[in-house]
Amino acid sequence: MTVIVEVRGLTVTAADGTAVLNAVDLDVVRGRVTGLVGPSGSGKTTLALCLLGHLGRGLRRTAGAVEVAGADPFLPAVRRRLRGRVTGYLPQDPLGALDPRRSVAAQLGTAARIARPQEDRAARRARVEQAAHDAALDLALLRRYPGQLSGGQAQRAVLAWTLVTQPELIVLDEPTSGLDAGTAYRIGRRFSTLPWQPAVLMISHDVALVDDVADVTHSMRNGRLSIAGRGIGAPMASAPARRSATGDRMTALSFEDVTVRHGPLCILRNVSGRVGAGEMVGIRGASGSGKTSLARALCGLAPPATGRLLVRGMPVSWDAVARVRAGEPYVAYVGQDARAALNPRETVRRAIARSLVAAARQGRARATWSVEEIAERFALAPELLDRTPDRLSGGQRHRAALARAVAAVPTALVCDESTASLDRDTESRVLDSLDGLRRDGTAVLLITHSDRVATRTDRILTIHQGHLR
Amino acid sequence: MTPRRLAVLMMSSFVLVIAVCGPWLSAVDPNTPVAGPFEPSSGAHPLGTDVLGRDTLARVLDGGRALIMQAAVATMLGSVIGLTVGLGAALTRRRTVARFAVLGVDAIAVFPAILLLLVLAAGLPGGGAAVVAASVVVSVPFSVRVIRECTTAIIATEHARSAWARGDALMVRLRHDVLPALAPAALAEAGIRFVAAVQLAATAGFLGLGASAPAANWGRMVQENSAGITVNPLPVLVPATLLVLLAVGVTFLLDHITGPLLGERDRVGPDLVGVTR
Repeated sequence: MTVIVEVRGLTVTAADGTAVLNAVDLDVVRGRVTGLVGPSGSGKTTLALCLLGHLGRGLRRTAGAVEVAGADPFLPAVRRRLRGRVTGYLPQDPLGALDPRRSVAAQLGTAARIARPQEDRAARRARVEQAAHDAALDLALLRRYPGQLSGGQAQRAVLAWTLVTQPELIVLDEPTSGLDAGTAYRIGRRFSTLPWQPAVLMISHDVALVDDVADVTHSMRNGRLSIAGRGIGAPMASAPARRSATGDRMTALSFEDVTVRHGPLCILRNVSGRVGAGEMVGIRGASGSGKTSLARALCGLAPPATGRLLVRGMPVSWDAVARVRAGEPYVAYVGQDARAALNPRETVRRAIARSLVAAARQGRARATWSVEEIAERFALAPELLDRTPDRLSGGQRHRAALARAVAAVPTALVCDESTASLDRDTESRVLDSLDGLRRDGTAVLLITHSDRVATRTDRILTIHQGHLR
Repeated sequence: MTPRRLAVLMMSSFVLVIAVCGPWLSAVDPNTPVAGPFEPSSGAHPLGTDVLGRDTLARVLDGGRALIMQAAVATMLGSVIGLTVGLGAALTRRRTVARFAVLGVDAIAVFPAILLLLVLAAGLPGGGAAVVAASVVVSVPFSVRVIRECTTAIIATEHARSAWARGDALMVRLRHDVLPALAPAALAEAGIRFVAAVQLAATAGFLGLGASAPAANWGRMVQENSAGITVNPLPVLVPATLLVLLAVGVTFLLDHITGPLLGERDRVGPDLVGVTR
């Protein structure tokens, strides 16, 4: 039993003196999958980054030591030697980790060459294909550029990138947040059967998956680590019953004959659907089936090839800017990549305040809303309001993006995997808030892979091979 | 700050101070002959005398300010025009207007700087105006192009698009989304144009354009005194060195002042995955 990672008494503090990690001890062992679960913002990603010798902005290591393969990754020379060769890292927002100007195959090839410079072209290619297979990434997708990948496909592409170097330590930050349950399990199981037996540290909010895949699971709470027992993934006792869909509800948003093409690829073919005012509709489908394409089209961010859109019975332009000019209703999009969705130079408070001002300007404002109140709805603590996105955790960023969208008082709200990186308590609080919006008459569309989220919706639309049912 | 950075910082500030405050510091009249031509350095004249026997030190101290002022005014005017046209071309929804604005600017870019300078100097009465005008006209196409490209990339980001989609006012979007992200590129670009404007102002002096004959100008000093370089090289070497230091120093100062101000942020990106290094 070889210990690859040894963390002893690691304490990391933020600029204001609060401990992000508090005397953390952790062993990650070769050939084992170590799970790490815990509430949003509890320090999971900070710990993962420490294994790579990286501290986020404003963070300081005040005590403790980290050893990866017998060396301290905080030393620059060691860090350079470890990264990309001994350690592989899958970040939380995978699209940002891929170079948009190079195909996936080219990027995997580069990673393979850096790790093993002496290999010839054929061996490298075999290695790339094996990694794609291990990451459940269809070989046809290797030729695509990152902009042509869905969120889940990009996640698997970065995973393949992580695997291609056959690192001894694999650190995965929310590796399955954009994947449907079937693919997530297929990938999760594979970690324990990789032939070179790496040590795997898997951060996830999918407790059931971690329960199933991990050999040992640690739970993080307020920067403290404890061993979590089995069976933490038992179903919630009081899952709210699904409401029956009422047909006579006023239609908030309906679309007809929408066709979306990406170059020669036809992603969606003549799909139609409607969402009632005060209805919460789930959209499901396998990774890469066109859920995000449909969402972005409805929100006016990527006009489809053909189709008609009606909001409250009135025809509406497919272009968001034209909607603003014509005073047409606002359909808000909360994207999958929360890091890109937020302005890196802007605090959460200012982002929400701007949204409120925009709503007032367009005559949509609700007079009683304040920044603090909206933040509170999405479980954002007051001290988070004055932080910029790079000092928020992945889940906090998603909630900030949601709060910002809601503050603009949209007629319909489309959330693309907004709860995928949240722990269960926070997730249910966010869903309660969305439910409150729904009751106030906002149409809510939830794109999700999670069964638990799906049970909270009024009905489910499924995208399968370009059709919506 | 490392000692080396401190040294470069001190040096570039020193050149700027000499150029701007020089005319107040010199005790000798820079335009009156005080000795024979090309006399070597002595106690009374630390840098010797120039072609007409005037004190070189006094002329060095006197000859920088006009140069810097011309360059600074040209840079500021160029930035104002570049930002206005560049931002306008990137932000407008009227594609034709944007295309013709950029085409018009490109048409100006085909004229060589020196040709423009000669034509403008012939048209405008003596003084710095011709030099400033030529610098502005020459540098504006560059500025417009850079600003437009950067702005196009900035407004295509997810957060800028969502601000547009939810109906933020133009001024709000400019202030919070566009300008903060544009500032590093705009400042760097202004720095390059400043250096180019200094060069053009020095060239104008070398060619005898701009402010008329007796006025000192580092560029003109190089030209006037090159005949006597074997007798007293200082009247050529000192202004030439100062010109070089000024160009290097301004870009360095700009980086040094704006870098921490804008805050270089470390982001978790491809670097951690291990491909870029």
